Amino acid sequence: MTQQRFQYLRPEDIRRLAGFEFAPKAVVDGYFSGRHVSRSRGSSVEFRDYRQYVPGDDLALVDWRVYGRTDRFYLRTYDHETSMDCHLFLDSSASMGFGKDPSKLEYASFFTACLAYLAIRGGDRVSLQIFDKKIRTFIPPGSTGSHLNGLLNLLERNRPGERTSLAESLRSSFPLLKRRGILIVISDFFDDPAAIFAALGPYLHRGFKVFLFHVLTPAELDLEDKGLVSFHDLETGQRVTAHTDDVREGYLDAMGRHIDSLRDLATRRNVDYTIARTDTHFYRLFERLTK
Amino acid sequence: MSFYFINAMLWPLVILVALPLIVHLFARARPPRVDFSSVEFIQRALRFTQRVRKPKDWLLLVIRTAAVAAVVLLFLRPVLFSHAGGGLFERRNVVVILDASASMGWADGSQTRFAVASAEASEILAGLSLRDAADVILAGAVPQAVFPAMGGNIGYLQSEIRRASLTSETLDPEAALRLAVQLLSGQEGRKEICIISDFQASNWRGVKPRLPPDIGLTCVSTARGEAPNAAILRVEVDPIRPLQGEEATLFCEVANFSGSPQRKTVVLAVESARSSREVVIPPWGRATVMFKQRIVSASPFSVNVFLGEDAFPGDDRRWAVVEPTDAVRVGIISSGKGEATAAAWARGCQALGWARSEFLTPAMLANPVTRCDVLMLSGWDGTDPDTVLKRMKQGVPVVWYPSVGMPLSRIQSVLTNSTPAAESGPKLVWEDNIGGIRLKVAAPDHPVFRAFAGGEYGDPARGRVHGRFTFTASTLPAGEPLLAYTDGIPAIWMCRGDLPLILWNIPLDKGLSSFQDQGEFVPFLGELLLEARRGSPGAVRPTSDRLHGESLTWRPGLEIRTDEVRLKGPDGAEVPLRLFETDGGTLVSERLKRSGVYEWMIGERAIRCEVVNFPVTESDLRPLAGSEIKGLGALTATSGREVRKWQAGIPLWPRLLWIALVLLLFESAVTAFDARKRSR
Repeated sequence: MTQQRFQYLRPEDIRRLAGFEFAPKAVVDGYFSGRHVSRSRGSSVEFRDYRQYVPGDDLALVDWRVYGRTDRFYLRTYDHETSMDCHLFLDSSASMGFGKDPSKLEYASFFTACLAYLAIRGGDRVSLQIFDKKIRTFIPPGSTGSHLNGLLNLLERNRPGERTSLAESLRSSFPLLKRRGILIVISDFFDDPAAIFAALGPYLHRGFKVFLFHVLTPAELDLEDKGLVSFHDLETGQRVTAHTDDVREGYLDAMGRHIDSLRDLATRRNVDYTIARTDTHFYRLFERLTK
Repeated sequence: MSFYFINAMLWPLVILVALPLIVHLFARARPPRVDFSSVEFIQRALRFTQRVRKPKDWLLLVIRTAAVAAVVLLFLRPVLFSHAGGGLFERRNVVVILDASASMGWADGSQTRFAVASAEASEILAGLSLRDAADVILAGAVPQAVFPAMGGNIGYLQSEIRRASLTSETLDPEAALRLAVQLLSGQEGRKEICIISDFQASNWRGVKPRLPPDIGLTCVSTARGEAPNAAILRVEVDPIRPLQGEEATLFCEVANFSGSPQRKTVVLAVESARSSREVVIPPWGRATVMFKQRIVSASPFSVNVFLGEDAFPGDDRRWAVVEPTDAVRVGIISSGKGEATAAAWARGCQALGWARSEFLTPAMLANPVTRCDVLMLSGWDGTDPDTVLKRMKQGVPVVWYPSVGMPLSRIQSVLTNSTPAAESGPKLVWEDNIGGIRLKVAAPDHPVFRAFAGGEYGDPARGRVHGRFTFTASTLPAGEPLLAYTDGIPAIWMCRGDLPLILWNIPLDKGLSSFQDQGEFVPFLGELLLEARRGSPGAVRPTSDRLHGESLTWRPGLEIRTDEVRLKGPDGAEVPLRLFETDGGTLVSERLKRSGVYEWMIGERAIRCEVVNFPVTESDLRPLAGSEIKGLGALTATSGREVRKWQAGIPLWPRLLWIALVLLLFESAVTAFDARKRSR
């Protein structure tokens, strides 16, 4: 499936991913019978419920044992296992270029590549949206090897762009997603949490299972001691001169409140929220998504 | 308040004050650039921390700037003159008025006020530099300057202050100030008068220094706390010239100058005899003690009255000279229609034996040499009352038979020494009574009638009068009638008041009265003359004591060779005399410094005694209030050191050094606290 060498999907990663199976708990609409539970009931092996017979129903579905006990016609219904659409949202704003070995964007790209590989290997379809203040690139869902190659090539070509506007990107991409599935957002979430969750509302209403991976570097989480420095904002170009000792306490407090706000909203909306520190290996993140 | 900088040439160093600000600004100029994902959270933190951080930065900047300013000023060596008139480079002319009056002898603790004042004066002089000039005035009754003009020999002035002794004189503040102004006039540079005194209220209250505007006045008060004192204020003999054989009364007035009552024993010493009386003097009050003394001879003698000594002994002793007489000198002046009455008085005096009458003219009365113990004026209309009044003030009683037609108001104006408001008011009206009217004793309890109480001398009111003045008691000065006509009109009216005056309303002319023909007339006249010489009980006559600091003078007359006269002091030592050839030769002593009896001697014979007593005004030791001292228009200091500081200025460099050190310590503390907070 991946013969050539890609930057974000290395052979050793492929070997290591052999032991993983992409299996998020999500109900999906799928084209093929498969491992994922579908809302459309059908002839699968997973019993779902009984319902009363109505004229026109297939008589083969009538449970004759129940008829024998109750003298009424009931039909057995089954959950339909189907293929899953996995929509990957990768933040490629300028702020994602922060950090070294790896930068946040590189870290997120590794994670995205591995996720796409795992999903396609499991027969699921994967779409990829790269955005900053708007959607820069959208690759529709696909489950073929060449589709994966296309995704990996795109990731390699990807560079940090402009300002982050996650909420706007989510709003504009909603019409592009035809089927519900899993929505995985990998971003540094430098946007208003309320606006982000407002933009996620339609997805959640439609039944998407949403995973948020908040990519942060240790420097952002701890604000390392650099003394008096002029901070240069990668997105806005703005400069702020401050002594790290003076602002650390306030910074950590503000950052903590931002993370807490995201976590609270995610918990209330049944959204999975995870902080992805770039100094920890991204394999640890698969625990949220794989069996 | 003004500043002077000794190292003013270092003023350019002040630019260094800007150093902390420059460092502060440049230290923040080029911090290293660090790329960061988003500065939004840093900005939020900064908004919070700047609220805390900025004041701290400003505080540090202010502390550092102040510290540098303190160090720079330290090198400029500023000198502070806290009061106007200070200056560093100006020649100073200082006159120190050192109060050497008697009140300065009070000891507040172990040192007298004068000792403290001397030390303060030396301290002030010690603050002068070589180019300054000074003088010291020892202020007493007559202020005396050490140098006749301002001088630069400060050491000599200080030694004179050490040698100066306290006097028992009263202080003449205005004379001292006048002398100080005179010394300072014409001097170049700053002019200052510094008064060091206890500012005794009895001397200083009401003093208003009139100084030229270029002369500064500084007052240093040496009075500390209360000064409870008791004093003998006056010793008076009544009558002033007691008759040989008569019993004289000595009135001793004692005063308590403290807030609590004092029990004192007053002792009278007459030659070797002593008698004493105990007296309780109320707080801030006075009491009079009386001693009776029988006059055995006509020779003058001195009496000494004293209290148990207290912390201020100068005023615990007082002397008086008693000058007895062998006959009462009665001066009679007759004018107008009063000749017959005057003649009757003279005959009566002759009959008495112990009284010698002499007809006087107004010119003779005006001559102070003319001795007169009682003055009888017959037919006087009250015009030109000065000489009469002068005698009355000296304690000479006056018996006055007025003139017909004289305005009644003139009697009052004589007593008050004033011009009558209306000469056209009611006048004395003469009434002829052809039938005659009798007299009666109006005040039988009066001492005049004591001799007549037994009846052996008859009725003093016997006789019939055919003419009289018709004044009534309501139109006369306050007093009481001794004799009155049967219809109530006063015949002899003794005025009650400070001045001894008896109005006589009985004509002694033949045909107008038979009063003078009665045998009772002479004893009555004698009793009247004796009693008239006595003051009212409790009324003490004015003193004629000499005071410390004054000189005794005597004009012996042509019959005495002045080179034979000497003056013996209380200690037996001879007092130097100077002869002034005016008025036939007047002997003047040097200024007297001791209390006691001084005797003018010719050979070994005492011709005349005079008494020098402690000045009464010096006994009340209460000082002026602080506000009253300021009211003199002066700066007030508590010590000479303070004055010296005012005049010489206060060098501020030690304080600036301390300030700089404290600021640096504070800066270190703030920085350390900041670092500790950051490390946490």
